[in-house]
Amino acid sequence: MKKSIWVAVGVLALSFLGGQGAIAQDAKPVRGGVLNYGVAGGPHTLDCHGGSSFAVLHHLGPHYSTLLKTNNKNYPNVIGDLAESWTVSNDHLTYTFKLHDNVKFHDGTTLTSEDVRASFERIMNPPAGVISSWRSMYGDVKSVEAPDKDTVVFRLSAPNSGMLSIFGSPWACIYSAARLKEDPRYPEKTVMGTGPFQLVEYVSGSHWTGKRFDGYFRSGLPYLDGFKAIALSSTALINALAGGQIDAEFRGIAPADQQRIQASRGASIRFEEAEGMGLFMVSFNTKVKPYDDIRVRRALTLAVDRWGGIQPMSRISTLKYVSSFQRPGAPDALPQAQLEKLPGFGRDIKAARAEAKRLLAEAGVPNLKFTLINRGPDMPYAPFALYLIDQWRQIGVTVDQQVVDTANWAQRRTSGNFSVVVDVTGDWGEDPSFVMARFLSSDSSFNNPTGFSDPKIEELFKAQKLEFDPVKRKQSVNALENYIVGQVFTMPVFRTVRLLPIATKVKNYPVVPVHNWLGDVSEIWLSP
Amino acid sequence: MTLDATTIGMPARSRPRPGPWRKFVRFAATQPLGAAGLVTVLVMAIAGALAPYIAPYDPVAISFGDMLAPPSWEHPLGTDNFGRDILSRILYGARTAIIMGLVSALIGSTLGAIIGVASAYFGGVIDLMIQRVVDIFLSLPIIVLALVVVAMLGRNLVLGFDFNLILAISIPIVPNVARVVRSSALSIREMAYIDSARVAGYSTRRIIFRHMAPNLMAPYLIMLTAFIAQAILLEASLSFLGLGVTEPSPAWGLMLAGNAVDFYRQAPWMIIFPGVAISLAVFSFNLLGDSLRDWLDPKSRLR
Repeated sequence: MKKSIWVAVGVLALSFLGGQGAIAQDAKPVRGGVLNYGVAGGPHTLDCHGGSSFAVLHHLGPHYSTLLKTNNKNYPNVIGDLAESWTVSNDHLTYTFKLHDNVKFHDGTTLTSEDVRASFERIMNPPAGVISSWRSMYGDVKSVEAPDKDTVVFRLSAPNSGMLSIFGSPWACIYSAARLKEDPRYPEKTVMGTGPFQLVEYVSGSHWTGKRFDGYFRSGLPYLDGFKAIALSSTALINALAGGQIDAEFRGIAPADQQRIQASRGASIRFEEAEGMGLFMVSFNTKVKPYDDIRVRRALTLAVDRWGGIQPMSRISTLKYVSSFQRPGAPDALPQAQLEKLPGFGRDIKAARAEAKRLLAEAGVPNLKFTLINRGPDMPYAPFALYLIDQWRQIGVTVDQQVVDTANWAQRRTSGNFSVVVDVTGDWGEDPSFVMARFLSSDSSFNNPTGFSDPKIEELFKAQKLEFDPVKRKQSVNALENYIVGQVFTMPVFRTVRLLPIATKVKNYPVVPVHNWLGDVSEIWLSP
Repeated sequence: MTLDATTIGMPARSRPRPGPWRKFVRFAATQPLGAAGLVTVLVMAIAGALAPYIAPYDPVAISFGDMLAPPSWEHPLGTDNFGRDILSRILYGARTAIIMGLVSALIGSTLGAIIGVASAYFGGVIDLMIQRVVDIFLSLPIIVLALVVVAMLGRNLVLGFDFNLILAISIPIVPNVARVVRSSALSIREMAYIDSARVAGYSTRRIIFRHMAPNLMAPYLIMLTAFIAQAILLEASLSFLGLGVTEPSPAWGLMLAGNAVDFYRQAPWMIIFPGVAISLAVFSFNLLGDSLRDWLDPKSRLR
């Protein structure tokens, strides 16, 4: 008996000491080590400005700096990256940034304001042959100036309350002006920035490795000696996580895989999650009958039991939240009470379906039949479509699903070759000025495939963009969202969860909703 | 040793023709495995035909309350991740498998037989050209050929079935049947009665369809049954790859794909039972095909 008491005391003491040790280790970053992570896909370009897929930033991110960046410890606010400080004029038309001193490119040259100017100029006015995926986002910027080597001035043609967030875009990598002058397309061939890691090797379809850049301008960073991004298929990625061949995956996995990885890795892995940015929706081609009739579109959104479906859907897919266009936890999201008043978001599904049937009968299509175009990858497109088909069946609508590959889906979506299509967004940030921009009338937004146009949307969008008072802005954004959801040209349904498997030895990686942005790899460290 | 009409393979005119039941009994006695295959195939076909009456649940209705339920009295084969009853989906899936398999094999084998007979009958340059085209098609694996066809044709729903998918499964069957039927037709072409028909001035069409084709029924039927199994497997493979039948339609190959891949560790019944259904159907048709070959072959009857 006495012996067992002493053993218990000993175990307690050891666990206490061990715990203290762990806390001490967590608190004090350790230098060294290589982070191995998996990426389900290769970069389609080496140029941030022309990129749009998560796979681009999950490879390129650690090599570049941006003017501002998202503060992952105080999301979604922005902090300076290359910018040490900034001021905004009273009329919100001039943004002046002071840059950090002695920032070096990987080739040893010093960064100046001219590099920042030339990089933004390249995004806003791409030279012939250069692809800029983000040009429209900077539509309010009239000019960029570099009055001295440490100062950059942006002059706007109209105020934009989301401008600081836009300056923090992870896609706005800063390139060398001198090299751009020689060849405006050099970033497509050479990875050379001012980021915390230098590129060592890229073997397409296999791996991408980076090593610490000793000249990095933020003192003491990065902690890691290097990183290795390994290209894997989705299935191989889960196997690699379960087998311990990789330390993390930063896009997000399905909950069904969590159990398996946890069972294999035990305490050596942890799972962190956040509301994701992937919003799953359905878009209607309003140029095609009967979807030009708001009663039909309204009936189809009313039939979907969002609240009843989300809990079981979260068990079998990456869909975990009922959501309108803005993330439920976003600063300007619709309050729950307001959300539940929107068509399709009410709790009384019986009444909603009765109304849906009435609307279909009134519109003359009580036995509506259509083909739903869905995108190839299985998760969560397949379960999402299946759920919708079942919901619509309950109001007498017959749906045939046509699953096409991503390229075909994108082509059909943008060309309007569909009646009803599964649609998705995956924004890189929260500001309503770019979250809501894709839902502007089709003649203003190339990303709205529905053919729907209504000048009131532009009017409401402009009102929120010009509003700088946070409370009033939220009201404006809510009014805009209310109106767009009410028109049902695109019906939002469910939002994804960003569930990240991360080895417990990987420290200091706060999880944020945005999956496109890899995060600040310079601050990650590995416990020995 | 004395030879009578029966032992040399000639029908005895004095005896009455046996009825289908007697034929089956005789077939079962000489080919028990084939009979077992035939019975299994018939049971599957009847189950598929009667699916709306015997399936305990709607095969497409989602029931999240029954999600991933293991086999029980309520759900004898368990449920999938959407709570859909697997037994009901397998019963309805039998319709898809047998209709797609039968129609595809029938189209492919019939086209193949016509091409094979024509190739053998005309001979010369025509035979040479047809056989080189057949060689090209035979050099491609069946699944690759089907993938190409399905990718080129897209979808075309007729009475709830994708007719282009049926064509995609049929086309790879054509060269295989054409080659086998041609070899049988080559020997028939040299028979005296074909020469007589030519001398009598019968048209080419009449010679091929009235005089050659009936004598090629045995290889045709054997190939047909063998390719029903192939067609079922091909349909399941294409559905598994996402190019065949689409959700929520119940189809065996489809039941093995999609979410089954994510949940088979938690709910192994999601893949075991559709897998057993596919294997059983293919195995049964193959047994039937092999037994028919032996039964219809006069040489093996002489042994």
